[in-house]
Amino acid sequence: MVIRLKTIGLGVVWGSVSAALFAFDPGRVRIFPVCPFHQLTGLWCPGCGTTRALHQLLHGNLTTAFRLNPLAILMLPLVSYLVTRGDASTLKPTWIWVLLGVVVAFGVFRNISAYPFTLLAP
Amino acid sequence: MFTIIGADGKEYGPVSTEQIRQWFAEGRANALTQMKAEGSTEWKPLGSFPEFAASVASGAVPPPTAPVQPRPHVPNYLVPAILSTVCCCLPFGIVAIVFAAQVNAKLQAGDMRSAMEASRRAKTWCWIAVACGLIATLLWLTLLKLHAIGVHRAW
Repeated sequence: MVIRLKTIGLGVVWGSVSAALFAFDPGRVRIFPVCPFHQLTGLWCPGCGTTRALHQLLHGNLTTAFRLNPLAILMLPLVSYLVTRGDASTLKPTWIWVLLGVVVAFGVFRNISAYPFTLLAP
Repeated sequence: MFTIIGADGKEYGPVSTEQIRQWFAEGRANALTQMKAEGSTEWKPLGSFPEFAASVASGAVPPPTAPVQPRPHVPNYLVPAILSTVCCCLPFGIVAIVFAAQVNAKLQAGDMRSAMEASRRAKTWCWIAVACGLIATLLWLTLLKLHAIGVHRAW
């Protein structure tokens, strides 16, 4: 019963967030939380552009979504897999280090203001 | 003569008492294997037939099964750690991912206690990251309302 309530609760949250992301373009309307890292430092974090990317993805614009945050789009299947699998504790630790490395490297690269790194910025 | 049900669920026989004694000795049948005497329709376990009482008693025990040790579930909070890194707070989310990796490393090494410790820390840092993200967002919204800061647009 508790598990079912949790599932329903998560479903409702997921549904409303998706609906809001579909209805409003985060690039135009200021209703979504902003990136605190970017507010404080002015730098792009690895997640900057994700909500805009998801909005574009929900409208079927895969290319635009990919341009806003390629990492988030690539990670989407991985995160979905980990969520459905429900247990990430059997993963090889190496893979988690690789993941961390990729996220950090992406965060560094997208802040370099020279071509081709500028492509990574949202 | 007996008809006996094999491990594959199929009926074998009729076969002789000797044959069944041999199968029993080889471990292919045990005291619980279902069989019926020729001419009878009643399935009974091998152990309940007087013909095999001696075999069963002589200690042709089935090999002991390896004790199964249930692996306790130690969550590593990897998904919340990733999400809090990209959505809430970069530095503390990364700390959470590091602890998530440690959970898996300790689990593989069989070090249960350290794994649980790392798991607890991963959870704590996820929450710290979420809290910092929320506080920063609220602070930003407040300052924005007060027109104290300009807008860096990044969602």
